[in-house]
Amino acid sequence: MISRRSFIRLAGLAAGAGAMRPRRAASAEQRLVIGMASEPVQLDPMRSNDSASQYAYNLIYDRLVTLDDRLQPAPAAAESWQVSPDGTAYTFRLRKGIRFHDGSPLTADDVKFSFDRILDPQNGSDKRSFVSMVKQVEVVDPSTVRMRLEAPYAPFLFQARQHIVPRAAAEKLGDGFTRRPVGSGPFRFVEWQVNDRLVLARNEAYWLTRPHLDQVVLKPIPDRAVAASNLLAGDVDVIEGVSTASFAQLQGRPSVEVLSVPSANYNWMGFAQMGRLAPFADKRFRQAVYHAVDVESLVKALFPQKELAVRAYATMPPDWWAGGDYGAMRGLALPRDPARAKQLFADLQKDGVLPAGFTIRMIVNQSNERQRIGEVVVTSLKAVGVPAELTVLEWGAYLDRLRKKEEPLLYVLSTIPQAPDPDASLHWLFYSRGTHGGFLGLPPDTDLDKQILAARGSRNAAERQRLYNGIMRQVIGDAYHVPLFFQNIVIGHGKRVQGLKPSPLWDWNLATSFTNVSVAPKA
Amino acid sequence: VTRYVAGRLLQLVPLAWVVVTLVFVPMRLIPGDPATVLLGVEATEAQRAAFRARLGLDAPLHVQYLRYLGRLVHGDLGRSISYREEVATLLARTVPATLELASAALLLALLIAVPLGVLAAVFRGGALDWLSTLLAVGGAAVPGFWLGIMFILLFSVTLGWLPSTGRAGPPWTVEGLRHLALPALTLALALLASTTRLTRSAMLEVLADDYVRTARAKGVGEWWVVGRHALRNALLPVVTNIGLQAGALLGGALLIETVYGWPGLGRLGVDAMLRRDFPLIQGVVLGAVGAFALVNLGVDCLYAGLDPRIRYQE
Repeated sequence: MISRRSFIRLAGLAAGAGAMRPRRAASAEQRLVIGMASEPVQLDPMRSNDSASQYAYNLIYDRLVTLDDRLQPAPAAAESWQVSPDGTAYTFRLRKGIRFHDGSPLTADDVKFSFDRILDPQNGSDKRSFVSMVKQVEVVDPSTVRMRLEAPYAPFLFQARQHIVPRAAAEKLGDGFTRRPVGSGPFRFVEWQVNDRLVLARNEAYWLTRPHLDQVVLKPIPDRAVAASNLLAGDVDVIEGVSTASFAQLQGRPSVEVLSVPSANYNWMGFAQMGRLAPFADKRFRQAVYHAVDVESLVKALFPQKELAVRAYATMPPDWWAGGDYGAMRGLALPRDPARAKQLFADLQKDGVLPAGFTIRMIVNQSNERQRIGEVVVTSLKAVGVPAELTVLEWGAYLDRLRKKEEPLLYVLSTIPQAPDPDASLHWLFYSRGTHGGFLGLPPDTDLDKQILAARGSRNAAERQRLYNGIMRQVIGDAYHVPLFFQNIVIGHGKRVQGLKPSPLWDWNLATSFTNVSVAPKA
Repeated sequence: VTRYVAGRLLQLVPLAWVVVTLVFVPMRLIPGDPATVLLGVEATEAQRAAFRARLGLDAPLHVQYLRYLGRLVHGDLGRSISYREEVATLLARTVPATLELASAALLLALLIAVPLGVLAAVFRGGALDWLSTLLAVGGAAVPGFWLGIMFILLFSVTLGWLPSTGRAGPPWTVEGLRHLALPALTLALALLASTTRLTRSAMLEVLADDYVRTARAKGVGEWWVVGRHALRNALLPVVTNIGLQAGALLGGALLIETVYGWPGLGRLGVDAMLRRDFPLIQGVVLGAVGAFALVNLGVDCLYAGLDPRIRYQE
C-alpha cells in the first residue's frame, strides 16, 4: 500500500524527471492563499500606489531593476546598466529572451512605453513623482534603453524599479488593461472577483526560475481578528498585518508560525502648518508638546511584544543609515518631563505666542492604534494644563482636513519609503514643495530645501551622509515632528508554507533571486 | 396578480429616484473626494485636478446630477471609479451572493423559529418555552460580528467541520452549502429571536379565539387545531414582521459578509464608501432598494396565499 504522501512525492519525482504528469498529480498542486488587509485597487502598475496593488504588481510584472535581499539594486528586466560620468544618463541593457504572458517578447520599446505613460501628466499616474527626474527615455536598440535625467539624482536606480508592461496589450486594452493585466513576472493573471479573490497562476516560462507555487490567491480580509481565525482554520495560508491582539492568539499555536521583520514603516506625530501658523511655528511649543507625551510608554502600551514595533528616533531605521549617526538622533529625543512642558507653555503664554485658553486640536483617522495614540496625547496635554481636543475622522475626511492647510493640527501619519535611501523619506517629508511639506506649511527655498536638493544630486556618498545628518539634526532637533515607532512587518503563516522572506519595504517575494516559496502537501 | 406585481415594480421607479438623489447629494458634500482617497497622500494638486477632470467630477453638482440621471434612464449605471468596471457588472456579481445569503438566513430562521414558537405557545411555561425565551433574548443581544468570530473559532478552528471564509459555488453543491452554512446561521440568529417571540404570542392569542374553541368543541384533534386552524392565522403577523425585517437582514448581511469573506453587496458598498466611488455607491444603494423591494413583494404575495380574504385589486 502506497501512502498518500509518498504517492505525491513519487508524482513530483515523475514530473521532475520529465515523464508524463500522472493525472492524480493535481492533488499535489501547490496553492498559496494570502489573506490581505485590503484589496488591490488596480492591476495596471501605472495607476495605483496602494500597498495591496503593489503586491499584485510584483507578482505579475517584472521590474526594470529590482532589489536583492540586502535592498541593493539588482538586475531584473535590465541585465546591467551604465551611468554616465555626470550622473545624468543611465543606459540599461535588457535581458534577452524575456517573454510576456501573452508570448510577445519584452523589448526596449515596452520599457520606454512603461516609463512614458507614468510620466505623461495626462495619465495622472500616482507614480509620476517617483520618476519625475527623467527628462527623456530613448530606445537605443531593441535591447538597450537610455534614460536622461534633468539633473544628477543619486538614488535613481531605486526609482528605476518600475514595472514593465507590454505596449501592444496595454494599448489594445486601454482602460481594460487594469482588469486583464499582462506582465512577464513569475505569475500570470487568471481571474479577479472583486472583494473575493485575485487568482494568479505560475508563469511556466519565467526567465529567472520556475516558481514552486502553481497558484497564488490574494484574498482581501479587512478585519484582522477574522484573518487570524481564517489562518487558524487553515482556510488561508498566510496573513499580513497581524495585530497586537491576534499576535498573542497566534503565538504558541502548533499549526502556525509568526514571522516578524523590522521595517521602515515610520509612524510619527506631526504639527500641521508648523511652518506658517502660531503657536505651532514656535520651536518651544513643539518641544513642550513632545515633553508632555511619554513616547516610550505609549509605544510599549500599543505594542506589548517587541516583535510588533520599535520606537523611532529618526525618520529611517538605524541600519538604513549606512554608518550615519543614529545614536545622535537618539540623543535628540525629548523625555517625558511635565514640569519642563508646563514651563515652556507658560513662557509661550507670557511672550504672547500662545493665547490664553488656546485649545490644541488633534485629528487621527479611524484605527485602533491611531485612536489610542490620540487619546494618550490629548490626556497628556491636559495633564500639563493645556486644553486639548481629539477628533477621529474617516480616512478620506482626515486627508481632506490636512490638505486644507487652514489650521494648526496635531496628526499622526505613517509612511513606508519608496526606496532604502534617505532621500525617499526626507524629500517626501520635508521638501517644501512636496505633498507632506505642504501639510507642514514649510516656507520654500530655505536652507533645508537647498540641503535636500543638494543631497539627492550629489554622487559622493560621504557628502550625502554629511548633508543628511545635518538635515536630520534640524528636523528632529527642532521637533518638526515627534518620531513614534517603526511598525514591524508581522505575518502569520501555516507551518506548511516554506521560504517566506518578506522585505522591509514589504514585498511578498514569492519567486525571486533569493527565495522560492513553496507549500508542503497536507500531512 | 401579474398586473399587481407589475404595478408594484413600477412604483419602484420614483422610489429609486428619491433614494438615488438622497445618496447623490450628501455623498458629494462630505469631506474627502475620490481624488483624495484613491490617489493617496502623495498625489500633487495638479494630479488630483487632472483626475477629477477625467471623471467629470469638476463639473457643478447639478450638471453631474443631470448627467447621471440621463445615463440612468438609459439603464447605464456608470463605471466604478476605483475598479474601472461597469457598475452593472459588479452588481450582477454581488447581488446574487447577498440574496443567496439573505434568503438562506430567512429560510433557516423560519424553519427554526416557527415550530419553536408554536411549541412554546402550546407548552406555555414549559422547558421549550423557556428555551425559546433564552434564544430570543440571546439572539437579540449578541452582536452578529462577535458571534461570527466565535462560530469560526468553534466550527472551523476547534472542530474543523466547516470552512471559515468565502463562497464556493451555488448552494445546491456540497461545497457551496458548506460555505453558506455558517454565514446563514449567524445571520439567521438575529432574525430568529423576534420571529420566535412573535410566533409564540400570535399563537397564544389565536389559540384563545372563539373559532379555535369551536373547532375543539367539534372534536377536531388538538394538533389539527394547532397546525391547521391556529397557525395559519398566527402566521400573518409573522410574515409582516419578516417583510419589515428585510431591511435589517440586508444591513446584518453587510457585517456578516465582512466576517465570512462573503463576496456580496454589503462589502462592495463599504469599500465604495471608503473610496468615495460615487457611481458604485449609487449602484449599490439601487441594488439594495431592489433587493428590499423584491423581498417585500414576496411577502405580500405570501399574504394572499395564507389568507384568502386578502385579494389584491386588479
